[in-house]
Amino acid sequence: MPAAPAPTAALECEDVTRRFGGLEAVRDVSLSVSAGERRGIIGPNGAGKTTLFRLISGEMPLTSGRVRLFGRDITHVPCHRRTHLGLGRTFQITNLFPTQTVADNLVLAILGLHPSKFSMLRPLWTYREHYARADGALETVGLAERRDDLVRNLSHGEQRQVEIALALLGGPRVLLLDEPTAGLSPAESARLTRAIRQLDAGITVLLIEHDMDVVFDIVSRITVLHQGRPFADGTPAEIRKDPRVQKIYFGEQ
Amino acid sequence: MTGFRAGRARMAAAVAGIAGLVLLAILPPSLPAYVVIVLTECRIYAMAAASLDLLNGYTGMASLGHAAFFAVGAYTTALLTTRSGASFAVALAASILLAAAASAAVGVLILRASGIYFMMITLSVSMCAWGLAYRWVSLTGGDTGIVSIPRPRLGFVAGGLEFYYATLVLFSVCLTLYLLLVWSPFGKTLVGIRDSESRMRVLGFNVWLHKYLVLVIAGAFAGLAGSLYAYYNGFVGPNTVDLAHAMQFVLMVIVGGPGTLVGPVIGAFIVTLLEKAVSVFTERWVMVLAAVYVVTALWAPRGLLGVLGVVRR
Repeated sequence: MPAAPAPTAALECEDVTRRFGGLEAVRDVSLSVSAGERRGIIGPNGAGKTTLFRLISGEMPLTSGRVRLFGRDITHVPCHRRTHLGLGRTFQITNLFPTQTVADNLVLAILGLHPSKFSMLRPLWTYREHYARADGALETVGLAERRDDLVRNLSHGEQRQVEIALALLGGPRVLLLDEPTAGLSPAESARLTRAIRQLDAGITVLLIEHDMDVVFDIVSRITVLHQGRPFADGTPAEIRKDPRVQKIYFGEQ
Repeated sequence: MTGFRAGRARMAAAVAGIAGLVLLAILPPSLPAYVVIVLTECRIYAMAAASLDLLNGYTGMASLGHAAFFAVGAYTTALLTTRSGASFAVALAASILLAAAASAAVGVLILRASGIYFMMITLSVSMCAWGLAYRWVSLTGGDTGIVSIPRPRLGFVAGGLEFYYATLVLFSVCLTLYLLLVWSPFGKTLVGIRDSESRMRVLGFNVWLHKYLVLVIAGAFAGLAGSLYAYYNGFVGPNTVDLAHAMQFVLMVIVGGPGTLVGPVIGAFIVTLLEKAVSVFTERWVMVLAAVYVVTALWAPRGLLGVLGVVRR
């Protein structure tokens, strides 16, 4: 479903560059993702994919360039404010609250956008509405029976599900998924792929993924990064056929 | 299942805590005066150690500078009572406010660092505070310190027990506030920061602000404890803020079990009582303290409560 270009793009990067000393991890990346689009970002290891995500989410400042979210310039907006503006993100390396229960992990995600996060005198467990929402999310991802287990006792696959549930609880309009299926078994990976496909069509998704089956299953358009630069751009079918893309992945034959 | 167990553990802790407070309230008239004095000291240190636990155990900010805010409270009370004869309430309030202000000012600086660098910079805050206490003679009296701080006259209990009961009341209030804080949504965000700052940011939390707030809150409570310490000790000198003192708070937290609040309270009682007991036999108290430190670090990194299996992490 090639989405018609919306009047303002959901996410726009304009000549985004990030240098680490002499190394240009991301260089002059310009891309425009329209609302509701599912965009894949692929490229060999070290291509700058995760760095690009960190620049978009604001975890790392840009060296130069601009980032716009629904037309609004967010280049200098701090990371946590971008979440309030509708940006969500998952991590390639599971990044949760391991000493906390699954329910509390989700409640923290709810608190992130809720003014009650500054409440200091009322016990958290009296916030029934937060826990009700967390339970709802647990039902959705199928982890209801793990509710009271510590996250660090969950299997890797279950942790990856919590990872996505946390991002979704923020109600993102643009969601950055950084290798959501990393380390999953084929069955788990297929289940997660299905879950991502079933996301609300209004959510714009950027997906970094090494598993090409997953990418081709989910996205309508792919941007290939190579050595920090956009290398190719097109539909999955075009990218699959592109000999230059095959070359950067597999080398010269 | 775990929820049930945690619920039962919480009940047991609550019962034990209330029983402890009741014992502290009814026993003193039948106790020797010396024991009453030591118990008062234990509680004052417990208040300070538990406030450090908010940073150290809950937020994961390993601060070595907490004694500085304790000292701000102690010196404020010492100065106000000896120079202008301030009342108990005024001295207490001023100590809390000044300690909070001090940590608000210092916080802007030290929050630029994290991890091991945070530890180093808080250590230097401690050293600077010591330097000020030692060298700013016109204000602090230098090495001589400030002497003959009068005990507050409260007049609600007959005999020499009124200060004992005043600290008991304040201790109970503090403990209640600490518990409310760590049970609150804000308290949960602190634990979230300890577990993963980057995740917290992406979830929409202004991590800096949460750390700053808890730093100021912990500083205010340390100031309260420092104020009571000045009254209790009758003397405040640079040793209030020297390295050994700063480390003692950290040790209390670690011995009891960081991130549990109750642990550091127990740790403060253990360390203080141990000091009194050991000092009877030897002057080498610091050596014993160091040994406790090593034993805890090697065999009980989660402290006493960790050994007892109360802590789940």
